[in-house]
Amino acid sequence: MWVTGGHYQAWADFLERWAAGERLDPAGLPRLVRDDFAADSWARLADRITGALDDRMVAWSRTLSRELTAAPDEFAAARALNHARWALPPIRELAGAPGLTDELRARLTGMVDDAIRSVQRQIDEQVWRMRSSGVPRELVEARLRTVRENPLTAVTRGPHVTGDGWAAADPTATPKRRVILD
Amino acid sequence: MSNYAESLRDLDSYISARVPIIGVRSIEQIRALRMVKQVAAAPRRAGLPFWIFTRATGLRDLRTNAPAQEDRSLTGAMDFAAQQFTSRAQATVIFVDPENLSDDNTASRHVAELARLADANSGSIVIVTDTPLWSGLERLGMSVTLDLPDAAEMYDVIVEFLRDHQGVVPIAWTGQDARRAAEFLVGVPEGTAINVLATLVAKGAVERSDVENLAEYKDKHFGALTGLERVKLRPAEAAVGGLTSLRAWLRRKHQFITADLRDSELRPPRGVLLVGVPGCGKSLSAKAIATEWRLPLYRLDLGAIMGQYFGQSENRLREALETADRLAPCVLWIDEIEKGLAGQNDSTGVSRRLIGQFLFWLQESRHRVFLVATSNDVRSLPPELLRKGRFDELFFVDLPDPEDRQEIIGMYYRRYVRQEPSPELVDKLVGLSEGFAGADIEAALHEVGEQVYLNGAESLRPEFVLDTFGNTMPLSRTNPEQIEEIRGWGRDRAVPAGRPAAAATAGARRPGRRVVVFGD
Repeated sequence: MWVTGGHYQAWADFLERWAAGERLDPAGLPRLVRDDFAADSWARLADRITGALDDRMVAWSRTLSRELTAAPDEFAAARALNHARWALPPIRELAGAPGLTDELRARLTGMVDDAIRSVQRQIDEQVWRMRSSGVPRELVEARLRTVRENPLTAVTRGPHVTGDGWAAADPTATPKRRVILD
Repeated sequence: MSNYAESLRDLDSYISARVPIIGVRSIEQIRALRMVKQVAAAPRRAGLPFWIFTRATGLRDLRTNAPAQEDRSLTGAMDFAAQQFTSRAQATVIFVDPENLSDDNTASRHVAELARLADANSGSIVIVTDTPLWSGLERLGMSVTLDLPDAAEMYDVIVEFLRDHQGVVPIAWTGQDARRAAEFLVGVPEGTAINVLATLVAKGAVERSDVENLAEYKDKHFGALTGLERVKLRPAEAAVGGLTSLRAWLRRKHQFITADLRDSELRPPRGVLLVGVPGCGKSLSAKAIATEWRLPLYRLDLGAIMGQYFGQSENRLREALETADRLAPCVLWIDEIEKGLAGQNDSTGVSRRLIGQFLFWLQESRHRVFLVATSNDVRSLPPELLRKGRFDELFFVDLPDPEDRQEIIGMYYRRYVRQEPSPELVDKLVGLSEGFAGADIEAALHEVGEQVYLNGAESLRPEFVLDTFGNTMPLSRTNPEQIEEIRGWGRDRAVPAGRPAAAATAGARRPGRRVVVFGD
């Protein structure tokens, strides 16, 4: 018996909202079993997952490009790269969601990581192009150092600190100071 | 209390007060980090987490040195800090030498955001840097400036280093030698001092005479600087006599240059202004003081200080005086001070500003820099430079009296002619040299020395010596009005550098006050 209705719908709804940028946890999604789906339904669902990942990656890459271009100094460039890294774990979480089959999980994770590596290569090449386009050498060296110190590919190697600390901050909160006395 | 102890106390209280951002400013990163670690190691802080970030090592636990995360970037470390500050109270994160926090930019503003986040939960950020922090960051917290080690701290460094090498090489230094060495090494970073001491050990023995050589290491450390030059002293310049009053005064002051004044409110001597007739040994006195006190002599060339751009002269003078402070203990010689600081006909205001800067340093500096300034035309000096409290004393150096001339003639005769003059010849020369300055006598006997060099000692006849003296025209004869004016000013306003009037030789036309050669 095929169970396409409930599970498919749950995934489809999730993917629609997630692709639009909502913060959702894919850990709660129902477990997918290939044999439970008709072949075309399975293909459609796989396409929707890939499409959602693609939408997020495209949006991510545009944001990074915009922030990097607008960065007035090296710290801002480093922060742009860092912000980009914050956005990657949720994308990798969907690609590695426990509800996916092992085969699909490996394929999607590989696809996302390839895309990250590709963007990293493009950034590296961009720095080399700076060198040949007459940008002063010290600026090129500084940018090269920024890029090396903040590699996007760091997120593919394991858990990575994200902007949760900043996200938890309340800018309007009154400071709570507690002096430590002996 | 040493600067280190004071900084340690301040940092300790800022950490206890949970100041959200604490700037630790020092050019000695290792020493500053030792201080931070000492504060973190206090037993009462055992439960508080401390992390440290450096560009090379990334983020680590300060106490265990265990890496805190894979990400070694500054932004990653700031994210980690943000996470700690929001998830737990009283976390401390130390950032070592982060770039670009001296002005208003994205990095500074990001750190300010982080400091506000820290403040919300009693967290603290410590920034160890050798540059000033942006005022927007300073306003959010407190700062500690760790200066270079003072003499007491340097003494401890020396003693500890030598103790570690006891038995490795012979060490002849006494406690007093170590104290003197500490005085010499004040002004250099601890690491440089250790390099110097290690170099002494590496040559196979630490001898007592090595203490004097420490000044040369300091020269190498500070290198060339516009307007300040080391004057190499020749042995002949150590052989000095005369100037009775000045010498007695200098003997008293010498005790204070070397004395340990930590437990008293007394300050080391500031210096002397020597005014008087040109050629009477004022400049020689600076060399003689340095030689007699066994201190390095530096000459401040006010002509080289003057720059063509706005503010350049003032900056150069400030740098030169700061360097002199770091070179302490030393003798600082300013020859013909009126040529740099006269300022009466200066329409640019530069001289007035230089005078103000110089007077401030003269009054406020607590370093053992003994200033010897000389002047031929003291009337052109600003009055504020001459008032009591600037220089320790103002000495007047007059033309030599007969007794002093006799001494000078004997000394230069032996130096240039390489013979002992006969008493009869000396008597005649003393008579012929009435009105001569020491420099006039030296020039005449130098000419005699040249004759001996060319024709041999046997060719020298007393008549030639007498003729040479007879043909010498001293300034007191070519320009008697100028000399009388200088003498008139000096006799009324300054302390005689030579013998006091009451003790002067009977029959002398003026109370004797000559400068001859120092040296007992």
